[in-house]
Amino acid sequence: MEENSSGKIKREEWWSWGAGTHGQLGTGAFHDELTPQSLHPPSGSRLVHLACGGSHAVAVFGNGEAMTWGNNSSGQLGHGDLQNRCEPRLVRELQWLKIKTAAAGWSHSAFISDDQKLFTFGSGGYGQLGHGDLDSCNIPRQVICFTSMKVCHVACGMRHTLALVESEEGTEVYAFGASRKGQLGIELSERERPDKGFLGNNCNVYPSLVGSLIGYNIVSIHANGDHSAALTDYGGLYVWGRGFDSTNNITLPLRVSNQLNFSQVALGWNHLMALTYDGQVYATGRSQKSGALNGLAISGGVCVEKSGQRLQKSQLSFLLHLYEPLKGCNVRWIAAGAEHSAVILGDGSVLTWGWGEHGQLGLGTTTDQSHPMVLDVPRRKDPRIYCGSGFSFLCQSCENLCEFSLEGKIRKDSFETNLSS
Amino acid sequence: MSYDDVEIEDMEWNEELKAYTYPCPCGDLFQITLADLKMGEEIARCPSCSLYITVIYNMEDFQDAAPPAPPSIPIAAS
Ligand SMILES: [Zn+2]
Repeated sequence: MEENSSGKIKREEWWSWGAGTHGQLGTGAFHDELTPQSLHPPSGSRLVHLACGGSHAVAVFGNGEAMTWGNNSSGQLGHGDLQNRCEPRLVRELQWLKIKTAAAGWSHSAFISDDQKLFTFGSGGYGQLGHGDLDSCNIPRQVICFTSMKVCHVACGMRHTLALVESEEGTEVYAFGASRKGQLGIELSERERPDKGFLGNNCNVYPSLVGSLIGYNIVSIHANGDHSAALTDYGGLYVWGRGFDSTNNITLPLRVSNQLNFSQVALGWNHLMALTYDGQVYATGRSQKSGALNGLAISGGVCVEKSGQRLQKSQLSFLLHLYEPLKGCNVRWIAAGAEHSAVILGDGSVLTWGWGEHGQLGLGTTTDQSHPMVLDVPRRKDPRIYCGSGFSFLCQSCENLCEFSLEGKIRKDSFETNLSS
Repeated sequence: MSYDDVEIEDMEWNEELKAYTYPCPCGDLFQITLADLKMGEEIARCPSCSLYITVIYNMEDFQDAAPPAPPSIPIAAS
């Protein structure tokens, strides 16, 4: 579809729901919403990427614009102040650049420009901005360490950041910020641990190479809570950081068995979901709280290996299991908030489950759900769902879904009325 | 049930709230004051939701403790 810079022709529809007291739903209000709220897309240009953090969100558009909204207590919106915003707002400091992608952590943000430079801002108390200090910052600041490198992807966790860099030899993963749970995937020497001055914290204030991932052709990186993950070009999954059994941290990247290849990964604060190329969801996690994976059925566990080397059973940090409630469903998209999960099926339907106290499941209640429940939103083309800690966004085309059966035939009933809206 | 066990080393002093804080999955912060810690309180609550965490610390460490130095204040970089 043609881009329309005036934004008068509505081509996309945005929906948001869940925790909203910091303005993170972008609805113009500072309160929770239990059902999906329709938003007018803030740009005339198509959405390229949206990332939801602890209580703020960042968006990148096809014309290179970057917008942020929600909690700004650490300057994570990048507007030069500390005022929360309940509507998407252009990051003016980045206007002279074309932004390609972005990430949002608990209280920090990161953007990558089309010349592959990395900019970070917000909370820096653990070194998660990569500027060599523990300062927070309320306008975008370039990460100097990457000046002569090409950053292609970034992921932000609670207090750490991962950056994927393209080099002649392939790709390299860099990590910075809090390291106490092993979330950097690097074993730090004592001299690399600056004393934070109170109570002591292990922080890495400069980006460090995750050496054990060199040569693995990493194509995507993921972070949430104190967890980190990476996917290789053939779908190999590596995981590190806080252990999903809550006791054993994984300090170096662990390979999830070569039995399975994955196309997507979603991390919560206590769970992990991974999507196979044929649309099956595998998962692991603590279900101590009403939490995200209460309905996790234990069957067909998959062993975890450390960089190809098989581990003893006693060393296994977690097992991935086929997530039974979605067995046989054609899952196309997965997303995870801190304690809730969302998936989109091939027929355009959106399902959510997990913790629901703030309406983050969008089901009209504050009840937790141990099984995926269908959300009451229109089924459209190109649906994408993004989850923050306690809230969610659905962005999709205004065009009705045209479904193709396995034989490639168009199902007429899904065309409904208009294709031209 | 406690949502999580969190070591005091993982909590941040918040000068504005006059409390040690830790991120809550709802988007707000679990909070426990210095006075609470001196009394041996182990539970840090979130003002926005039903969740709470158990704080792991040595009570003796806080008997004579003064409020920590404030963490860095967000600055505009040039
Ligand atoms: Zn809370």
